[in-house]
Amino acid sequence: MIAVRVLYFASLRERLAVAEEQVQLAAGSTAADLIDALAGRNDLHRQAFADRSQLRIAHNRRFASADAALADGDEVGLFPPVTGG
Amino acid sequence: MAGDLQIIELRASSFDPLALLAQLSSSVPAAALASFCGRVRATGSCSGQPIDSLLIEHYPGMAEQCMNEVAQRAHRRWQLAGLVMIHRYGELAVGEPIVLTAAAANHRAAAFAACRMMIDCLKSEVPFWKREIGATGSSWVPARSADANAAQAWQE
Repeated sequence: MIAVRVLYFASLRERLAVAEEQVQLAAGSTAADLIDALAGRNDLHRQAFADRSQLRIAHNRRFASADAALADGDEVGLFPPVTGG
Repeated sequence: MAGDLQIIELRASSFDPLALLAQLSSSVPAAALASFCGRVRATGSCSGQPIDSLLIEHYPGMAEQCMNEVAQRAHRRWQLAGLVMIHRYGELAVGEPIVLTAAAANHRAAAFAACRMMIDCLKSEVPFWKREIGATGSSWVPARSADANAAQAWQE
């Protein structure tokens, strides 16, 4: 098993009413596996992760795709498309 | 490089764009200086209704790292003599500066391009989110595909 720290931002953080979670996953899991696991937690999570086209992923503080391979102690940020500038 | 100046800053407090441009101008003898300053719009991006303030959320650690990467890409690509990249977070009043990008180069084409690349990439490649607060409530500013395309166009 691996442990991953998940951080939520902006509208996703508000929807989930939580900013951070620790998640245990099977070794060899990807970001997509993490999101599947999160979506299975409860109805609130299932709804928040229903539309993944609007979900952006950061793996250890770099933009990443859903197939990014996760390791023990990694940080994954999940958030909507960014709107700075 | 002698005279090379880079000011890259993520900050909660307000800043004076002209003071930063004066610092760039006096530190770097380059022939061309280009700058862009984005300020808080008085009306909501979707509603068109007046807003009271803008709240900017960021991903601590990652936002600084992404800003630095964008700045270094601009610096290398256009061989800049200096640059300024400032971005605010927290609560901002209407009219306050949010962002400043400035580039110093030997010719205007490089200065304009670098300045534009930095602001285009700040909008779509750095983890910031804007929330508009008005009399009737608040709403997250939606991402625009035109902004994502503008940033994409600078990929080498």
